[in-house]
Amino acid sequence: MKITVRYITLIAALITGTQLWGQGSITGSVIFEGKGPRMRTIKMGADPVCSAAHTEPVKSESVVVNGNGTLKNVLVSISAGLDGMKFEIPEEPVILDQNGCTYTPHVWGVMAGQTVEIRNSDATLHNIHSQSKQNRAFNFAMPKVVKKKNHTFDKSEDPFIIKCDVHPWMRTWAAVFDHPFYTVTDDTGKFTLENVPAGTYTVKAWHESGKKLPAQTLEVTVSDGQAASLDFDFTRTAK
Amino acid sequence: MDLKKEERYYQPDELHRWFGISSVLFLASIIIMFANDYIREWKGHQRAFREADVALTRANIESAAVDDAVKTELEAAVATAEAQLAADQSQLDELDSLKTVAEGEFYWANMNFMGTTADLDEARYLLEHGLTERHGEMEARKHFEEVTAKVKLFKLQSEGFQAEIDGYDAETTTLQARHKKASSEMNELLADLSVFERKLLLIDPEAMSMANRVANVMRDLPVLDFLAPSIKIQQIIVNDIRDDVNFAVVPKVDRCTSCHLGIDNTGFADAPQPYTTHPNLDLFIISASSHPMNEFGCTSCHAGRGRGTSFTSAGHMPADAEQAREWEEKYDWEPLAFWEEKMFPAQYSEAGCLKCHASEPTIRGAEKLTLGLTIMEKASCFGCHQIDRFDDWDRRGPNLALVSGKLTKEFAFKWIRNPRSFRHNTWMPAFFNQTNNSSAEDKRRTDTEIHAIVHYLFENSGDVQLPSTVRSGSVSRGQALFESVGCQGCHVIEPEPLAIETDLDRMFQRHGPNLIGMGSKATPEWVYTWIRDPQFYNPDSRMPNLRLTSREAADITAYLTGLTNDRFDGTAAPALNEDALADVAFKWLVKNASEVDAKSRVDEMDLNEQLLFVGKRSILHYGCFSCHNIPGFEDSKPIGTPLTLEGSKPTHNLDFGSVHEIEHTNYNWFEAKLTNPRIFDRDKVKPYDERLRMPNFNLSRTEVEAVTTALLGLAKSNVHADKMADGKMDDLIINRGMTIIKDYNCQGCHIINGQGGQIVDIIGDPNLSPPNLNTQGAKAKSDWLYKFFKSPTTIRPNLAVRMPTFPLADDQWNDIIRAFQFSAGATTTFETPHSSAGKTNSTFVGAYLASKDMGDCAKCHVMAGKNPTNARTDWAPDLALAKDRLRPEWIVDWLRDPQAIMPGTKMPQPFIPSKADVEFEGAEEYFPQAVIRMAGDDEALLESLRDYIYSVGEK
Repeated sequence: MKITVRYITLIAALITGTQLWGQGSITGSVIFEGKGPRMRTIKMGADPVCSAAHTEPVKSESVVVNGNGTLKNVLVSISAGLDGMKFEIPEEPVILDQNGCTYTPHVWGVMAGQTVEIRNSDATLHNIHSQSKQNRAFNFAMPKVVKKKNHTFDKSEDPFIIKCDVHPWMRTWAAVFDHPFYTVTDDTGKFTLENVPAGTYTVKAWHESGKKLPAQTLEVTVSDGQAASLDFDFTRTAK
Repeated sequence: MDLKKEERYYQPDELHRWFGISSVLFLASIIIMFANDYIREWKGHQRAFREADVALTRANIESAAVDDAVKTELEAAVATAEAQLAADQSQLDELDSLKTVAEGEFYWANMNFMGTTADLDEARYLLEHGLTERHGEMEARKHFEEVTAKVKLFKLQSEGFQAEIDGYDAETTTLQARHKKASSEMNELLADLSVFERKLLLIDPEAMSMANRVANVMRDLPVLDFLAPSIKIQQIIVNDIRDDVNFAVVPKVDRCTSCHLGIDNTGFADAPQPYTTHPNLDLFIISASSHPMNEFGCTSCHAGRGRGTSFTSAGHMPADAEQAREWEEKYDWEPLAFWEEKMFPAQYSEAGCLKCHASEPTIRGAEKLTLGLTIMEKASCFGCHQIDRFDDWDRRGPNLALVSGKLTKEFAFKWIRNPRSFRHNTWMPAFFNQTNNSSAEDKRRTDTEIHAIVHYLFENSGDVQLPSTVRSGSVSRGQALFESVGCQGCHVIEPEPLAIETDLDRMFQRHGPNLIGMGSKATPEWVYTWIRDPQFYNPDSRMPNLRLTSREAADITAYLTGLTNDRFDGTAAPALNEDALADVAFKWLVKNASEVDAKSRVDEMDLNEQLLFVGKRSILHYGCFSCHNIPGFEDSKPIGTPLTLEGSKPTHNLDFGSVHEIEHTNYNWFEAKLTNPRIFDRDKVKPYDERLRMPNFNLSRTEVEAVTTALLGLAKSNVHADKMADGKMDDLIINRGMTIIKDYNCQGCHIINGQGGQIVDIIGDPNLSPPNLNTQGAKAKSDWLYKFFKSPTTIRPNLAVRMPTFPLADDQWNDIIRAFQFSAGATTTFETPHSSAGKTNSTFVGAYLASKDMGDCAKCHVMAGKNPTNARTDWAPDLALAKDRLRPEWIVDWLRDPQAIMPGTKMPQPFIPSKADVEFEGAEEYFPQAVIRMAGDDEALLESLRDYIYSVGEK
């Protein structure tokens, strides 16, 4: 009898249904007061097609501090609290463009199973080389005649680099999630995670600088239909 | 005639009473017998398991349950289709009757057709006959034509009726299609569910019909349960693995699954024992694995008594004392007496792998066992203990034939006395200052012995020609070279012990000695000479030659000899005690001579003679020659117990001495012995030369457990050759080559068969590290590979690390090459040469795909000596080397998906145009006609790229 009871509880834990998205949201901004590091100029002379695509010098996007004292390109996502919930995979693809020998967007997220449409808007050869560990790494050539290729990642994975070995300055950061609650801060340093079900979550803010600007996490409780707000401050950690 | 009581020789009343009592006793004993049988341990487990299985199946049904809305919708669809079908029934009936009529017509026409076909043969014969005989041919021809016309007519008729039948069939199918589709969708939807539901019907009384329910109870009732019980012993009989039960060898019979009921069912992964799922179903138990339960049983790997049906009689053994206590309480457990092959406690379960995987240098999936065997290799256990597996192995320790050219006597003394005072993680074990020889009196003797050993070694050492001076080198350049050129494939420089556990990767990284304190050990002249040519000093050394220039060697020498061990240098060796020396010499002599003779022999010897005599006796006593080549001991025999079948040695043959705090089992003995080799001398009074002398290797807990696992694995086995993992020639070839590969630590730098390559972690980028040798046998041409091994040349100009020259003989290189080939399944020795000559079109298309706008190969690859323009660290192999180096089939595989062969490689998948890629407005401007024609044929395009690569550098 004891065993029976044990089994029923065990099995019950295994059965989880697809849960509908909620009505709450999490908003805030990523603060970075003071001056960021100088943005390095990228020398694209090695490929005339690249340098011809720009009239002004291109700056490295590794740390971009916005005019209003916020940090751009910070990947904000729910990192804990969604256990057992399943979410539908959007049919809309995520677009990664190789344009002017830079990647747009510079930091991005995608759901496992969602299509990534990789575009080549340049009239030159790129190769697109993922450094993913959980997902199978890929690396293929995209000559100028190939304008589009689709790819899907199977498993969720922390941010990893995708780069072009032909143009060593080209780098973009991708992260794969098993839920839709992620976003990247924009020119105003703000972020919004929408349709969040009520609950208590850990929200993570990640920046590509790694140890120099280590990722931060905050707890937040979302009640149904309400907007919870929280701000990350990367000023302290910067040296 | 009625006899009186008194007239009988017995008392009827008494007899009746006894008869009564005994029948009650018999009845009681029969009841007890049945009751006892009914409550047997395994029966209880089966009852409990069935309950759990019912619960799991119910839960499975629940989770397989279909969304009600979907189900209702489908049911409605099925119902509509059924209604439609009913409405169409009259039409279907009519079609059916029409079909029957048509079939009759068809039969008639077809019979006519076949009949006239026979007539035609006759008419043809008559015609031919008439033509030959030149008589009546006109008539015959007329007849022939008539019959031909008839055949044609009947054929047309029968074809017409067949078409009519097909038409009715098609109409019927159309009318039925909707219903068929709806019901098959329904079945598909409920497929999982019905499997579980069917299972539940068999095991869950609540789901059964009343009759089945009664039968279900009846069949397992006491006494009746001999008929067809559901609760019964489960057994697996394995004919080609046998148990030796003394005086008979019988097939293995394993009844383990009578209680371990969930062993092959993934649903019981978290269930309590004995129902737990096997933790590694990929490798064991299920029929898709390489060790299916029905072919291997359980005790073939785990040991134990397979026929046992209770916890104790199966020979279960606890992992530790705590588990033993728990078992005693719970199962009334005790170690099974009179059964030597008791089950391996869980931590040693990999021991069971060795008997079938004996010739594999690394046994995949058995990491602990492999670690144990590797430690046995490194520690050179086989030097003193004969072990079949290592029979033809060389001595592992340094050759001491020229030791005076390398070390000082002072160093040698301090080193022998306590090797770890110089290098904390050396494989040289400690012989002295152990628990059975650390008294002041023992030390007086052992210090003297060490002096004598050093004296013997140096007196018998040959001379080595070292340069008188070495050009001065730069320490910083030396360090940079040490860290880039490949030394770290085998060596570390680790001043302090690291708090990390030993594993196979760590062993690869520490294949050679930890090079701390080199400046305290050897002179710059010796180090310089050694690293430039290791075999000059020691022809038997496995250290390869990195072909260092004199300047590079001087730099590395400066770096290494700059590392000193001040604490070691600060202690001095004690002076020789001549009285003690005479005493030791006397003690050896008196063993074979009278006291007077021994005394006079000692007195006759001068100091040198005494030292040489004691030195020689000590080397013999401690077995130094087992690991080191020492002049005068070339043919000496091993001094330890043979270990080939150590795992099968009866425990009563192991001397526990007065050590009573451990359970007397073989694995406890091995663990205690490995942890402290002298422990069983505790509280014993023995003359010095009879004491235990196995040296102390300072093994960690993990290492002790791993070696114990390997020792338990060295056991007798009765496995048929067909079941052995290395029963096939291919496996033996691979294992032979892989053994050399492991011995020379190729996996320190390269990933081979998915293992090794730890230097990649030090270098950081796989693209700047020694290549992953995945598919090597299919990749490189064997004659090229042989030439490369003998004399390595630069393939990858971007690497700072270099392939050294190894001191291997031709047959060893052949073994390695064949191991690569057989591992990759590419076993041909002689091949048709492939060439790009005459393949103009293919080469042209390939060249286009490689051109600047497409693949731009020249961006990274050197092209027939022409270097790419980008940074050297991004360069890739010269494509002109490909035709001599690479097999043509492999190049195509490589181009198809480089990541699959070398994960992490910078080589992108080249652009191979599909039909869609070339079907746009103005494609002709971009692509040559030849490319447009071939687009979409990936194989042909990849081959054309290969043919182009083969043409690079051709005139």
